[in-house]
Amino acid sequence: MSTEESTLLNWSNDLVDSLWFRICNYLTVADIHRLARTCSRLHTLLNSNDFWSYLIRKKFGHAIWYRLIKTSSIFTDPISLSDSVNKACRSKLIYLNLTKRKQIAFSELTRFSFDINRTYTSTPDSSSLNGYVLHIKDSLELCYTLHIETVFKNILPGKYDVIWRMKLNLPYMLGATEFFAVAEQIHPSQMAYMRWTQEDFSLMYRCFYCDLTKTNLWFYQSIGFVEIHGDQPCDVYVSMVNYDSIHAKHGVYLDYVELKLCLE
Amino acid sequence: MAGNKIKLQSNDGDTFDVDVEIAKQSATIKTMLEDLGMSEEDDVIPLPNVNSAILKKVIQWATHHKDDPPPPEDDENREKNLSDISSWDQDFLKVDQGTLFELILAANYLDIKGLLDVTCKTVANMIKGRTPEEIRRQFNIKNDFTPQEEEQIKKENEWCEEK
Repeated sequence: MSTEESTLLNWSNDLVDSLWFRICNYLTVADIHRLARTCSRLHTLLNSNDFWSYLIRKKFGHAIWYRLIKTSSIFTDPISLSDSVNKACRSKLIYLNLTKRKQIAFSELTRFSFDINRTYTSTPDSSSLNGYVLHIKDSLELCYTLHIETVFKNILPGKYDVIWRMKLNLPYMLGATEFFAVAEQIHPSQMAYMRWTQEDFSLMYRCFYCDLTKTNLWFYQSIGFVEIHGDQPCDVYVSMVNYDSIHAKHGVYLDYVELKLCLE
Repeated sequence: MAGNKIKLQSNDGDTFDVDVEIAKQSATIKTMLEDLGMSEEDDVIPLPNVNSAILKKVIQWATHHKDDPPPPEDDENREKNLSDISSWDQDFLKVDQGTLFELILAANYLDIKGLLDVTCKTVANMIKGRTPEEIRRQFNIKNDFTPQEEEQIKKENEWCEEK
């Protein structure tokens, strides 16, 4: 085929599947959707299980591909992670779920259960996930235990780093402040756990405070890993507690908690 | 070792003298040389899937990239950066649709990972952000949907579009 003739090429027909896969590797999901709308061949190809499991393998690596696609039966039954009534192929649902960031902002007060000891409100903060953060600021005469809890629904099997985004301002958190994350599954795995004392809070605070330009910086604190076994999605409970009831709690800002999928 | 040359023959009969080290960027040619023990100066490697205009471009690309570090075996888990096409490659790939298409096929057949990556990225850049109609025009794709099907397909993906 000479170069002159090939100006009449129809790329959709003449490029083999594997090369379209390769090209799509560099596209966003929205781009792939628009490409799939051009003709029936690409529509079929880009809605196939083969295509989306290729993308999962490319973007998330062999281990995750093996776990979720090769050996698992997730979504072969009608359970669906999406709210949609539309049918999508199984590996596409998994891909979309993997690419979705699993974050819960503490300012979404309805998604949490709180102790009833204090009134939780959110404060504006332009550098946060959704513009508001939760500020723990008891007045000194308020001395109650603290309990904040939330749940991530339908998390796919895999290993996740549990990360809190926090900011401190003269932290006063006497007693043990404990952070937990645990997956609700038949064979329980180790839970993510971190225990901070007032000294830990102060250390972290001073670590910023020494450098005046870095005062009040947000930081990301991993509290450990949660692993979901088996081949069913499950819920992950995350909480922060401090059972010390004789001191007020003060000076902690919470932005969000995230489950970050560990690759390999 | 340096200076060793082999002859590559295109499907329209032209032969090109190429440094062995440059030619070996093609995994296909590398395998041929190693498996068949082809190292004699007189040996000609026929490339029945590549015409001479494209082969010339491929050799030009491979010559420019001869000192690149070998590409990683498997690029799983790597962050894909769309803007990482070097300016030399961008200029090299300012070609018509047909040439770009044939370069992809040649890179695939010759198994030159670097060239395949960069040509696929270029095509991806031509798709990014475009409407289906613009993509069709760009790549000469025939719309074979009925208007009803088109409407249906458009709705299909609304639920999972990225915001």
